[in-house]
Amino acid sequence: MKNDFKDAADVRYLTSSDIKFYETKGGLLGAVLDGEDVGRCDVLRLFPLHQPDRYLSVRRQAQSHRDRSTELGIVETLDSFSDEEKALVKHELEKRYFLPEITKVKNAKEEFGHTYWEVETNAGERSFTTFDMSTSLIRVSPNSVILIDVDGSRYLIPDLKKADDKAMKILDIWL
Amino acid sequence: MILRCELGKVIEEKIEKAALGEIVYSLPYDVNEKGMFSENFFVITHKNLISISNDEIKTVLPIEKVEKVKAVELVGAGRLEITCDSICYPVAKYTAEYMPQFAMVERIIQEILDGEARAHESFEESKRCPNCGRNYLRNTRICPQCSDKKGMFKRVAAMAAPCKNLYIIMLVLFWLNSAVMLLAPEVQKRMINDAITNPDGKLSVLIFFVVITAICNILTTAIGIARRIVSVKASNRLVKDMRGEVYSKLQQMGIGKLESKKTGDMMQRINRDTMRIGHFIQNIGVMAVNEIILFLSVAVVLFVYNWRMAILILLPMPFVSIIVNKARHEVRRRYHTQWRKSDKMTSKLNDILNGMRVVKAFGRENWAIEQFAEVATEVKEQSIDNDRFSGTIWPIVRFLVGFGSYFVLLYGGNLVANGALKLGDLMQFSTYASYLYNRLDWFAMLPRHLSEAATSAQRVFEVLDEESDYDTEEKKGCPEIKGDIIFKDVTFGYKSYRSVIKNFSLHVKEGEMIGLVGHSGAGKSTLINLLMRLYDVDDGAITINGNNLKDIDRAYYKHNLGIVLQESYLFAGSILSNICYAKPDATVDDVVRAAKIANAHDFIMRLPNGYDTYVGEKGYRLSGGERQRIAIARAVISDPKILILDEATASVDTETEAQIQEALGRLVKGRTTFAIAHRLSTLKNANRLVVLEEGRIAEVGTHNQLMEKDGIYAGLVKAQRTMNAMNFNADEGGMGGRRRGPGGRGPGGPPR
Repeated sequence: MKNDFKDAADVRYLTSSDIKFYETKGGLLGAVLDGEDVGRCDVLRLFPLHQPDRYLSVRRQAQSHRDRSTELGIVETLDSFSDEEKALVKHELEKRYFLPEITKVKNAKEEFGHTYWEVETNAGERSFTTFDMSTSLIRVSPNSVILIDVDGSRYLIPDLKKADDKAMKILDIWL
Repeated sequence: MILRCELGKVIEEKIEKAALGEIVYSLPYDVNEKGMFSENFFVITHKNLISISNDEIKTVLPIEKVEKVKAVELVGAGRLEITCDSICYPVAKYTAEYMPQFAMVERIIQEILDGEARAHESFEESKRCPNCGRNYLRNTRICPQCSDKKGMFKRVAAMAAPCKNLYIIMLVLFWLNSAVMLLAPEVQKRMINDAITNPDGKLSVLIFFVVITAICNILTTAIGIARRIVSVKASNRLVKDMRGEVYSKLQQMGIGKLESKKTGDMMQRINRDTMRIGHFIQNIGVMAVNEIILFLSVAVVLFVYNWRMAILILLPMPFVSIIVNKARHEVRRRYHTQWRKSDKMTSKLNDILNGMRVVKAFGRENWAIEQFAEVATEVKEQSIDNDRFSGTIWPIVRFLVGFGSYFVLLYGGNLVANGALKLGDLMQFSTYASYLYNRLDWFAMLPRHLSEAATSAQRVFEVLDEESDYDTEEKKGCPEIKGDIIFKDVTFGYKSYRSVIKNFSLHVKEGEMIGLVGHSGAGKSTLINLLMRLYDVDDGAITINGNNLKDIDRAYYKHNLGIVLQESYLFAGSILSNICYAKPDATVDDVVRAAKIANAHDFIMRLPNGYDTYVGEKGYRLSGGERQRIAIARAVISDPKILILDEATASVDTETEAQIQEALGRLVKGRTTFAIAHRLSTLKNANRLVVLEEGRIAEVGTHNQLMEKDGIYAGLVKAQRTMNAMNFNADEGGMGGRRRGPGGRGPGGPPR
């Protein structure tokens, strides 16, 4: 029975001996799988919130409009890859999962169910609006949360213990 | 959406200097190539695609070399990818806010590549206030920062004008009330000074003052009752008027505008916002005028009597008001937390109870118990904590509110003891002081009430200010509708930058039945929506017997349209009233005939209350097939020339489907019919099948022709056959497979 379950679906785990990552001419991510150049590929996180650095699905891009992307395999950890490849993949992930970290909350004001934030992030200054904290707040760990603004952009508060009072006053109720 | 923004002199000169061509489109975006927020621009000239960051030109791609363009949706952001010479370049990166704009860019470039370039203009669809850059309140175009609150109240006042007299009465009553309130302490003072503490005081004087005090109290009570009656009447009338106006405005809006608004949000505007305004007028608006007058006059009276004591009373007031405000804020915050936690408990309970079968099936009862215990404990702890807090804080606050009176007692008591002041005067003073302190709380809440009411008023007026889609329509003609329909180069999208129907052309002859086939999202329902005139086409035209659909009177056209949808909605009411919905003046003969055509008459007769059976949410529960047949009767009663069947039999079992199919077969005879169905066998009567793919016609022909062609349709049929073969025990004969369409029309056999 045990074998049946394992045989019913194919999961391929990739290590540095199976796949090599390289930078395409346009500055995007490409890969060579089992010695064959598969061209551009995407890297998606299986657990974007709770394990952002582990379990990455490497996918070959859809070839035509009606096609869907196909999974080449799953990279459980980047440990075995060269520093250069690690940096490439990380860079690609950072671009795909754009998540500025809030370093300082300059102002946060609640009005009519909307919260107006003025913050400093590691990507620069930003002001944004959240609506209905029950849906725009994701707790990713006991000490960190992600805020999603009315457009769908995301912001990380990496450490609630260090967060500013202004932010905590608003977040407190929802945590 | 901005498609043409100011680039500034520096950039424009650089583009000109580099001879990159004439600027056609220019859009801002917000993330630079290093992943930092900054001011960037994407420019389309007639020769090149250019990205600009910090006034520097970063990439230039000649349009003639572009092979592919795609606005890729990332997580919380997006990226424009352009392929030139087989190399894909990530040209621009932007946050979610700019995604619609770049979807538009993708469309513009694609149109250029396809040689179908059209001019697109910037249009207002912004979610931000152009004035201060803040986001508007959700689903509105209201900026809480920049909105004109004074103007709002003027408009509310104007709406209240019809019951002006009631408000005048209210004001007069308030003044009377204030007068009595100011008078009462005076009476009290005299009673104490002349009758109680006066050694020569006579009993008759005391009785006199007691009677006066009683009269004062009776007066206040009576005025209070009268005030209540009048204000309830006035505010309810205003609320009713406003609700009526908002509701009728909604009915006049086109479906496009209506669907962009959420049902819940609209219900809130009609129900909650109007009520808030009413509440404001009733309890706060008129009262505020009065309370302020009363507050000031009490203060003046105090100063006139004894300014030193007045200062003693007023001095602690700012501190006390700050403390009261803080306490209220904290209590509100705590109860908000508690409310949220009990909300969580309710939804957990709901979740587990609904999933009880799964819990039992997997033997996870203990897990369910633990899950619930956890949230229940949280609620318990929060609740205890809150009750303890508010049980402590309010008595303290009340003590503080009365704090000023201790100063008065100390200072005044001393004066009384020295004979400089009479006891009655002191008592009067403390009564006035308590008036002031009791109002503090109320005044502290005033700004909040004001801004809440202003926002509600704005939300209501926003609907009222919406342009009506019907008002502007001139009287249109009512040409004869026979059912000859031509779609000519029809293009349409719910959002202007994303076309759902693209250059759709089709000539449908009178009495023809067209089956619409395609994957979900191919544009079938959209096409039907256009035919129903729920939306108007963006480009091209739909003509009916030579007349443009836009030029035909809306009500007249709809009268000639019969519609049966997948889940037919029956309104609360009798079966009779539901069948008559499209033709209120129908005769009994019409109704019975319609019901018979729909195969509904017999089952209706089996109901104890026949045609009088009450259906709808709280009425008799009809089965899906029964409801559908009533919907067919409703569609057919006005003898429409054009019939629309959108998945009319999708949600019923196969046996019922056979009955409905039979009814539909009778129905489509002599009428131009459009039918959408996933179960392709349903379309067996169709004269032609139109296969849609991404908003364009992919294939047209009879069943046999399309099967021969072995294209998309054939693929769909084969897929369904495989599915049917797998469910071999179902469906045998149920689909009425071997029956031929009425009049022997339609392509040979059904795809089985």
